[in-house]
Amino acid sequence: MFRKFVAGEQISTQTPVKSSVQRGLTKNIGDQYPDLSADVLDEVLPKKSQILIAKCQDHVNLVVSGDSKEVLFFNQREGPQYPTLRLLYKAGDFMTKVWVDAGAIKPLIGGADLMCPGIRQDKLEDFPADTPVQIMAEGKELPFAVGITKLSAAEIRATNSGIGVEILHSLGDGLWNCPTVD
Amino acid sequence: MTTDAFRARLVRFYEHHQPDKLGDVEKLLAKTQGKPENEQKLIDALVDKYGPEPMVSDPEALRARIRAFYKHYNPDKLNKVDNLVTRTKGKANYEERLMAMLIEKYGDEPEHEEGEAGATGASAAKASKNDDDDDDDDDDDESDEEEYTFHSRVVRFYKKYAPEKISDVDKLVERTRGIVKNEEKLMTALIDKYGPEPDSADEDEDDDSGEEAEDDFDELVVGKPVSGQMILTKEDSHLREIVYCPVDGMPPEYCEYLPTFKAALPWLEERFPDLQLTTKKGKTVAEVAAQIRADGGELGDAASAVAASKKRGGAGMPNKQHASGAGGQDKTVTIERSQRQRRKFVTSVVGLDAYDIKLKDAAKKLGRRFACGSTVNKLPNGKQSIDIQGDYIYDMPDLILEYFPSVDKSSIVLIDGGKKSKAF
Repeated sequence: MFRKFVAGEQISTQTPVKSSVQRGLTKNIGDQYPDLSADVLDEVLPKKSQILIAKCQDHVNLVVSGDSKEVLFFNQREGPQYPTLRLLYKAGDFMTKVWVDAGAIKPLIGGADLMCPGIRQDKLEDFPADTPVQIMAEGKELPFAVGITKLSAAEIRATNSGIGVEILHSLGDGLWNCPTVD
Repeated sequence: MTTDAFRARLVRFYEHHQPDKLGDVEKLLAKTQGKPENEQKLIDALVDKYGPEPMVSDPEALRARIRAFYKHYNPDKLNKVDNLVTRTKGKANYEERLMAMLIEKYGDEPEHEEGEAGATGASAAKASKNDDDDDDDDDDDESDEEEYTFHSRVVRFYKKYAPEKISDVDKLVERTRGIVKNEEKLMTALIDKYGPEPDSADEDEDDDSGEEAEDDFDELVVGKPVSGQMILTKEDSHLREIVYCPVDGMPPEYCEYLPTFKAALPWLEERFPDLQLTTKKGKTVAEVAAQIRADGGELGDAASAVAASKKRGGAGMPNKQHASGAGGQDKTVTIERSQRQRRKFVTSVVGLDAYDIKLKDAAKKLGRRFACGSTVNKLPNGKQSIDIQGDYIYDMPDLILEYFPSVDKSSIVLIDGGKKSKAF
């Protein structure tokens, strides 16, 4: 999603949002990620500080902190909110994990989608399709990509072919290189 | 739920999150009047306020589960089971973490005679029954024991790192007031300050076979990552800080995937020599660096590598967009004319940014001078040009010198119909 993302070009507007909208957004994110503790969520999206929404090409929105100007979450159209990798590192793992072999790192960082055979089924959590997930590599501590599952865990086990997870954001992509917006 | 059972739940809740408020339990109980909807509402409100309901510790069930685990995956370690169970010290969250660690290490939990895994379900019901009988006494004992064991952990800590401060332990433990979160915060702070929590095995005999599982467990219990220390916990914050490589702005364990890996090696060697590199067949940074040196190569100077790639404050790979703007070597100013429609032309000036001139202001100035529209355009090669409506290439050089005296006369080039010629 952010392969060719360049802040100067792709961001069209940045606006603060009404506090009602902000509250809704925070609640939304809290509901979406039950493993995200209220304490952490409150530090990430404090009720007291302003949030900005930056609108970008292709109906992509970035949730930006008013204080630090850091990009925290992104989503497309009305879709689910995904954390940026930097935020995910800071806040700890609160997303469902999908493990892959180390060999899958290079292609995924390049922007490819994750095909089923590359998924470590022995470490597969149970999830339905369309779940936001973080991609973990065998032998690494930190996730290196964020995506959305195209199949449920059961389907992945059953078919073991085709696209398992669509990768939306990865280490080194345009969004990674854009930690803050001015 | 019977009043007594619900009382037990409330007591457990407050004990875990806020022991100061144990006195309120009776009052709250009276309010619910024993109605299930009210009880549920109360629990929901408490969960909202303090966090999840604490699970009941059930060491016996845990023992059975772990036995089944090791029986299935690693029978050699069966003798370690008792030790591990003891170390959970009757805390449900430690038990949970131990199970999680085992599952991650070996795989899914094997079925065992007692039925499905899950300390909460069956044993919670069991425990509340027990609580019916013993109620307050039991809970008091549990919390006393917790305090005692946490106390002993802290004592061990200071014994190892700062024996002169052992007298402070009582004060510190008192301040946690028995709240698990505070205990954990204190532990994290101590670890940050002094180092990893000393193993109780330090005092006992050396015990190699069990050490692996127990060390991992210790790390998990204490909340620090097992390797590297890329991930730092901050004081007063639930967020963590990651140490990024200054050369490429990546987490150190991913530096090996970038073309700048070699430049990053010196820094990696210094900070994370034990990091295992998956692209180098699991060799550590130290080993790879040693090998390069042995082969007669050089690792490169960390300082210059950092300086070379720090074009945007080091927050990522150098942005191609700014490559020409930030001190580009090519200082030619090009003036070109292109045709739009019929008799209308556009004069483009490229390269003024090499002289640290703000393009937007320059564009305005020039436009004003010619009473024409002017803009700054981004070119496909990443550079930017000032476009002015009209054909002014012959007037432009003089103007540029007038407005921007810092520009070098001899570097202005005119392109007329594909032919390049110097303006002066």
